[in-house]
Amino acid sequence: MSFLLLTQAGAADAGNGLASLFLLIEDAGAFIRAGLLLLLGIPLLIGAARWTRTRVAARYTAQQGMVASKALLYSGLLLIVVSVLHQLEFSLTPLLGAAGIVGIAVGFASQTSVSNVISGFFLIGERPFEVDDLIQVGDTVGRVTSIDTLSIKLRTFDHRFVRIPNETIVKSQVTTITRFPIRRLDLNIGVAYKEDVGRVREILLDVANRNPRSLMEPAPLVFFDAYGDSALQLRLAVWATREQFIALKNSLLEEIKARFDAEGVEIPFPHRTFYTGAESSPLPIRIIAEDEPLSEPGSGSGEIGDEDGPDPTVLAPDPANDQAKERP
Amino acid sequence: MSSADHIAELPHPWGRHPLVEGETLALRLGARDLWVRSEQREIRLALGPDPRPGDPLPPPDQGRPTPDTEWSRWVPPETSGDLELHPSLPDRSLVLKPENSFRLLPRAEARVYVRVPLWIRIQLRVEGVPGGIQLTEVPTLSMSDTWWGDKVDGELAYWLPTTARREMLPGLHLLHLAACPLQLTNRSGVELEVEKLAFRVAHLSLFLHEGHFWADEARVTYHGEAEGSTVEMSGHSPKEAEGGNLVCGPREPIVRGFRARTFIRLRSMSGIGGDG
Repeated sequence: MSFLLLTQAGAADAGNGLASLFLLIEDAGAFIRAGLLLLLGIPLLIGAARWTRTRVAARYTAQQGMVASKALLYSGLLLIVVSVLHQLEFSLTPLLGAAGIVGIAVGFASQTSVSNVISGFFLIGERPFEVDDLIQVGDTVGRVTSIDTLSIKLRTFDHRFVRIPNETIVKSQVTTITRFPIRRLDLNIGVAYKEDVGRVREILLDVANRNPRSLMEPAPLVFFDAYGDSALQLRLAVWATREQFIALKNSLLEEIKARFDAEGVEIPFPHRTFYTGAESSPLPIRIIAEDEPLSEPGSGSGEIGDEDGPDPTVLAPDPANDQAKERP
Repeated sequence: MSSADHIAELPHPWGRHPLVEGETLALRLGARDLWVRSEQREIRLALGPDPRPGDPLPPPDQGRPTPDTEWSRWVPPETSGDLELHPSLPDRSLVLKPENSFRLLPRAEARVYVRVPLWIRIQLRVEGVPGGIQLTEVPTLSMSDTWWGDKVDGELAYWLPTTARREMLPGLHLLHLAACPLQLTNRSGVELEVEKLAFRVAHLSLFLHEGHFWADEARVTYHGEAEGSTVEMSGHSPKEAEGGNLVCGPREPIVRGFRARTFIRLRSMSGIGGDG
């Protein structure tokens, strides 16, 4: 009897042990499945996202490739996380309920981030620029390398990495430099007042037409902008493809200088003309010898420009300085 | 008929040239000088200054590489052989600017001839590679770039001033130019002033007839400002060069009767104005 009881107790223990073992194996299986999902799913997903980006970018645009790749990546990640939680027997219902409460708290704390995310959607929808476009935001000019959930990334010409939050982009004036296939280059050129404007115009147009990077049409133009302080202000407007724009600017500036030098056209430096009353009279300067007596103020000995006092333009020795020189 | 079948018929300096190790091959097409040298198992190529339309032809004794000349280098496979120069038509559309614009009255037709600078395809014969390997392609004349069409959706083209002759006299044929017949028809009810003309040479083929290069006939029919123009390429040698041999096929497949904005009248594309 006792043997029987013992046997039964042993069997019950063995049953419990087996059940525990099965539970353990089952738990281990769930962990292994979850682990496999993570270990295989994430690399596969990243690979698929990269493949999608390459293929879509090759067929459509780099921007569309990036959007398609990110859509696949984020939805795939969500699916993997949900599947892993399911494998580990987490119930999603209380999690979602908790997420609602936590979401309110987090929402208050992450208003900027949410604003950036929403601004990111606007940027993708409105498409003011795309990946590989050259843009200017404030003082920053750079090529767009990516448009992400929170920010856009730029690579500047001096090879700096600039991150600009999406919200800033939406609120700021953004210039897309490479939006259109051709661009107009405006060069402000000053020539001396003595030059013949018609001749200078012909020279500038000839230089522009000879430059292989300048487009024949839309045709180059020369505007007479203004009578400047020191020069006649002209503006040369030349069109080029966006790829040739910088090269055109460099070559044209060099060619204009060389041609002006060859043709004897003067590019003036800033001039200042002082008048002493009459426009046509030159500025008088009289050198006074050290032993010559100074004119007293109000003595009326000034030579030019007034009848009542000394000429203020005359350079006279400073008595204070002279005294200083005489000290030992 | 492929271009390779007619390499022997091409007039010198087009065609095949054996390369001798250490020797420089000097060639001139129009005003375009080029020098090819085989040295240390390399092919080296140098070009003379870019000739521009209207430049005078250089004297025959000139044209040597200078110390400043830039050389391009290629390492060919062991089985490479002779060098070949093949003619082809430009790689972009041309905007033709007649020296004097002319008017095509309603229901009128005109045949004009335009001489288009040829491109030089420099190829290397290689055993087992049909057609050889192309090293590079250079124009016999460097034409200026221009923009045709809308500033947002237009196309990059070459600018070619032309006399738009009504006759193609034999003396006008040159080795670096192809004669292109254009049959213009005005089907609209209004006078058409031909000030500029977009000529889509990428759809044209090149033919050789009695030592002269011809492109197939392009028939441009103007239907009106709103309807635009239809352009058709015949795809065979023109009647002036009947029986001519195909030297080079079109760069882009011929599309029968495609509609295109072909003419521009006095409305200019100046840089000023509302959208300047």
